[in-house]
Amino acid sequence: MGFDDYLTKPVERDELLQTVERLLGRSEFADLEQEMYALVSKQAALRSTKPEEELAESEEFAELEERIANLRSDIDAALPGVESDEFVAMVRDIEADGDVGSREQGQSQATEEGKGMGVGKDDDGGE
Amino acid sequence: VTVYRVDGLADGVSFDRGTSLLLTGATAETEARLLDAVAPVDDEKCIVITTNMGADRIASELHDRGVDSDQIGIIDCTSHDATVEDATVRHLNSPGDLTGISLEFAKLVEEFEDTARARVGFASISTALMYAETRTMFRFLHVFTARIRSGDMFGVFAMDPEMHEDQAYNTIRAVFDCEAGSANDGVELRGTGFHQ
Repeated sequence: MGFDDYLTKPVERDELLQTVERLLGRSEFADLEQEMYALVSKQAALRSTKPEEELAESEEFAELEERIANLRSDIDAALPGVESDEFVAMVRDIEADGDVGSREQGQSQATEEGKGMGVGKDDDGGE
Repeated sequence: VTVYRVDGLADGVSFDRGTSLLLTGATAETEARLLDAVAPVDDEKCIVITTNMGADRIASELHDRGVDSDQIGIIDCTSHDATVEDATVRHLNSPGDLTGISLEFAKLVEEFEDTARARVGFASISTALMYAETRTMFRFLHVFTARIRSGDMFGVFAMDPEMHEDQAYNTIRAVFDCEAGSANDGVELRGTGFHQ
């Protein structure tokens, strides 16, 4: 993301500090969001392979759900009040990252994503 | 009033401001439900992002539900090029243009600035997933729902689970506060952010 995009010169001290704070918040949001995706993928893999009754009794699954809930509040706290211009900037960043992958390739990636995401595979990376 | 009332989903259900709902089921079914849910009442506005139905149909369906032209904003990502005179319409070339969607959304929100409340419809995630990876869509929807929360809006997103691997569906659904799926005799609501 281009730092200059967020400021019009001349820059006031308060405005600069606010912008830095906001960018730090976005960076934290991105980190937490990455952890969130890993946990949610794990949760999704369990949901896709085990019956609901079994998951309801699983301590591991309950713990996972709790971690996801906690992470959700952390993410909300990292970036309170997302305004329109920030939303656009964040989506632009997301799309720039995603372009490295297989955009415009059609429907096949939905199947690709599902592969290799075995239950119990340690893909949460954040522990 | 601090909630969004919705008729047609279930009897007398209302959603807290900032809530995002995932509507699941067959496309024809969820499209109709989505339009019911996003149809603004009183001084509300609505913004509908469409990937399947053309803007002209969205507008006429909303008019059928008693919505005025100046309450409707549509981001049309289909290749339909019909002229719509009774709603504000923005055209995009592809449902995969997520930055374009966010930009047009920001502009429409700005145009509606004098209103306190807006409903947002996205139909559908399933089509968008043909153009963007699950990971990218997850991130996009995460930021989008954060924007909806900040703006005290109400978001309604449609998805047909049958069109995707369980893994993709189960990942995407984790973004939302609540989910309305088809049950035997109607709709079953699960999650948080709503009152029945």
